[in-house]
Amino acid sequence: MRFVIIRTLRAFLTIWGVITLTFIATRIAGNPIDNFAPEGLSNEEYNYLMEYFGLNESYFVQYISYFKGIIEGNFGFSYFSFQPVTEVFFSKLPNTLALFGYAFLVSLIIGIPLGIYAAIYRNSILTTFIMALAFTGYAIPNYILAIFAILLFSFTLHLLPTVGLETPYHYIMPVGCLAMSMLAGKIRYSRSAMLDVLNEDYIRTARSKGLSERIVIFKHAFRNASMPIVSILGLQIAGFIAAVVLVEAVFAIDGIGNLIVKAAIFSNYPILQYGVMLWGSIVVLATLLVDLTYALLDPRIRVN
Amino acid sequence: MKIKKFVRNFFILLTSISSLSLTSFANAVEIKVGVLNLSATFAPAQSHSNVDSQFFVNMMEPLIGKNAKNMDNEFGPMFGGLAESYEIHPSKQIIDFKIRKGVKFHNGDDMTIEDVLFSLQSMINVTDPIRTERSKEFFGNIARAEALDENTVRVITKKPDFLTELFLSSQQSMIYPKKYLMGLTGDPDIDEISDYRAFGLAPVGTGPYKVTSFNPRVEIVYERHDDYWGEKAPYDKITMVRIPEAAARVTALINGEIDLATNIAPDQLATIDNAPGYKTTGAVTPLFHVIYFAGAGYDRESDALSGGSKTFTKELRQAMVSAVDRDLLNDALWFGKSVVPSTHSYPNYGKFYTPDFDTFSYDIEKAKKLIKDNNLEGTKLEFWTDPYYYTNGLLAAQAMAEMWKEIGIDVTIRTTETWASKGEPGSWGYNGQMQNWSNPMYYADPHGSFGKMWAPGGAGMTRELWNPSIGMEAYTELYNEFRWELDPEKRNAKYGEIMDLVKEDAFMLVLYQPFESYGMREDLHWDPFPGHIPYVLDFRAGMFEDDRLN
Repeated sequence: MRFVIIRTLRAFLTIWGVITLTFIATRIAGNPIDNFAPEGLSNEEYNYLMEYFGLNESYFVQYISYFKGIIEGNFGFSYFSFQPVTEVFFSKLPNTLALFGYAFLVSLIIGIPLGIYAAIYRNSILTTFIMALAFTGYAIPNYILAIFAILLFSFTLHLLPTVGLETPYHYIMPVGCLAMSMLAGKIRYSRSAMLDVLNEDYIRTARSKGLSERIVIFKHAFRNASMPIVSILGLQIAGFIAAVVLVEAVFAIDGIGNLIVKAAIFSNYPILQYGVMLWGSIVVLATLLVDLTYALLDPRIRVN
Repeated sequence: MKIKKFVRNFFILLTSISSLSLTSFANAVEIKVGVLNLSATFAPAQSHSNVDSQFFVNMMEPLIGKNAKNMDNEFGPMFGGLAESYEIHPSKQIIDFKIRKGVKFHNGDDMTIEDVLFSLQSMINVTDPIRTERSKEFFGNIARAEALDENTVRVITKKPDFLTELFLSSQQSMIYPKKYLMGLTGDPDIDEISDYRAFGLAPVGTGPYKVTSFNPRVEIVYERHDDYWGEKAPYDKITMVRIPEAAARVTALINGEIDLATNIAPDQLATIDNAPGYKTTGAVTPLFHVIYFAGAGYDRESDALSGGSKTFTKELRQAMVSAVDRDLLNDALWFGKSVVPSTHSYPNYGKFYTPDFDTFSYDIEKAKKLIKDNNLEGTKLEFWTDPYYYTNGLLAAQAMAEMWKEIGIDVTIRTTETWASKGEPGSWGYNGQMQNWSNPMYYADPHGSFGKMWAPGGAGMTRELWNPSIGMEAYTELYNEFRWELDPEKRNAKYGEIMDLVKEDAFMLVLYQPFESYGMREDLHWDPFPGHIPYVLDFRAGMFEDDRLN
C-alpha cells in the first residue's frame, strides 16, 4: 500500500512540475495578442485585449489564476476560435487515440510474436529478416518513413490517400509509420528478454521435467520475460506523443499533435498549456500504471 | 511454423487492402480543395486577413454586388447583392436600398429589413475590440442606417465618400439573421460579444452555399443552399481542407484526393503539369510583398544596427532601397511571372490606378554614392523574416543581402516562426530591424492597401514603423486631402504627392506582386478573379466551368 501511495504522490508532483514548466515556457514563447489581434490596433485596444485575456497581470497572478482554473476544471478558451479548450481537445482526441490504438495494436500483435520467434529460432533466415526490420524501424524517424511511404504508395503508385482519416484506407500509412518504430522496440525488447530467460536454470528444469515446448515458452519463459516488455509499453506511450506530432503534420490529420503544434506557433496559451498538461499526465499515469503492474508481476518490488 | 504463416497472411491482407482502387472518392457534383491556410472564424468583422477572406463569398452576401470578373470596380444588383436596386443621392451622403424580396437565410428564416438594419448597426456600433478596427475602417464614415419603409433602408454617411459602395460590397457588410445570432448565447434579446464569437463558429448567411460543417483551421464543408434567391449553386458540396505542406498538397492533387490545390510553389508547377489529367493556372495576386525599416524617421538608436550607422538614417534607407534589383529577383525567384510595380498602386484600382508614378527604382550608382558620401559603409543590421510565411520570402531576403553587400552594408538574416513579445528584440516591428511584410489590397482603392498600412492610424503607423519627414500633422493633412477628395484627377494628384514622400523617406520598398499558382484537374476551368481581394475561392454559379457538371 505504501508503495502505491508513494508512487501516486510522486506522479502528482511530476504533473504539477509539468504544469508549471509549461506555464513558464508559454510565457517565454511570445505574446499571443501580437499573433491574432487585427492589424492597426490602437494602444488602448491592445491594452483592452491584454486585460480581456488576463495577460496584463503579473506572471505570478496569471499562474495562480491558471492553477485555480485547473483545480476548478476551467481550462480557458482558445484565443482564436473562442471555443472552450476541453471542447477543442475532445473533438480531436478520437483521431489521435485511433491512430495510437491501431498502431499500438498492430505493433503488439506483430512485434511480440516476432520477438519471441527471433529468440527461439536465433539462427534462421526469417530471424535475420525480422531483426533487420527491427533495426530499420528503429533507425528511420517515422516522419521520413511517412514521406517515403507517400512518395511510393501515393505519388507513384496512387494506391493510398494521404490527407486526413476519412476512410479506412487513410489509416494505413499513418498507422503503418507509427507502428513501425513501436514494432521495432517490441521485437528487440521481447527478443532480448526471452533470450535472457531461456538461459535460466528453471527453463532447463521445466524442459527436463518433460513439459511440452509450448508450455515451456508461454507459461514459464514468457511470463518471466514479460516485465521488460511491459516497461517498453509504457515508454512507447511517451514516445508516441512526439511521433504523432510529426505524423499528423505530414498526413494533415486533425488530431491532438497538429493542434499542439499550431498552438505553439501561434502562442495559443490555453490550448498549449492544456495539451502539454494532458499528455504529461497521460505519460505520468502510464508510467505509474507500469510501476504498479511491475509490482503485481514481481512480488519482490512490492516488498522492497 | 504457425508464426511464419501468420506473418505471411498478414502481409497478404495488407497488400490486398492497399491495392483497392481509390477512384471512388471522387463525386461528380462535389469539389474538394486543398488550401494552405484555413479560417479560424466567420465572425463578421473579426475575420479580415488574407486567410479569412477566402471563405466568405460562397456563403454570405452584402447589400451591394461587385463584378469579380474584371478590375473596373463595377457595382450593381446585376452582380448579386441583397439590394434589388439602390440609389445614391447627388450629395453622395445618402444611399437608399430597396431590399430584395424572397431571400431566405440558410436556417430557413426569411430575411427582413430588421436583419439588414441589425447587421449594419452592429458594424456601426461595435463594442468588441477584436471587431472595432474593421468597424472604424469600413463603417467609420457611416453615421447611421434607418428604415424608410418596410422595404427600404437608408444609409447616411458623415462625409461624401467615393468608397461607400465599395465598403457596402465587402464581406464586412454581410447580412446575417438577427434572431439567430442573438439567440446563440446568453440573453436572446441582446447581441452580446459571445453571440458574435459563437456565430463565427456556426455562421448563417444568405449565399448560394451554406456552411454545414466548420472545424476551425482544419476544414470547411459547404452544401448547396436550395432556397437561394438567385442562380443555384453548381456543386452539391464543397470541402475545403487545410493541407499546410506544399508537397503534400501536390501529392493529394495528383493522387486524386482533391480537385484543386492552392498556393503551388513555382518549383512544383512542372510536377503537376507533367501529371496526366492535371494542370496549373495562376495570376498575379493583388498583394505586394514589401520590406520595411522599423522605426524609420524616428532615428532612434537600436541595438539591431551597428557599424557605420546606429540609426536608420534617410540616406541609409534610400541607398538600400536603390540597391535592390527587383527585376532580377523576379527573374530568379518567380521565373519573371510576378509583377514589379513602379509605385504602390494596383491595376485593380480602376480610375485610381497610377502606374506612371516613379516611386521605386533600381539605381546602384546612386546607392553606392549615398553610402560613400554619408560614411555608412560597414553598417551592420538584421533582417527578420518568417521562413515560411511568404512564398520565396527567405530566398528574396538572402538575395537582397547579397545586393546590399555590394554597397557595403552587412545584413544578417534572422528567421523566426514565433515573434518575440512586443518591445523586445526579435519582436514584430522592433525598432532598427528590417523585415518583410505584405501590403494586400483589402479593397480596390489606394486607401484599401497603402492606406491600410501607412495612413495615419494605419497598421504600420500605430506600430511606429514610420515617422514622416514632413511631420505627422502635415502628413495627416495631406493624407486626408487625398482620402476625401471627390474629383478623381485631383485625388490621384494628391496620391502622387504621398508617393513622392514615400520615395523621399524610403521607409519601405514594394518588391513585387507575387504570381500565385493553383493546381487542378484538367476538366476544371477555374481562375482567381481579378475583381476579388487576394486568394478568394469563388464557386458561385457562372464563376467557373467544370466539365463534370455538363
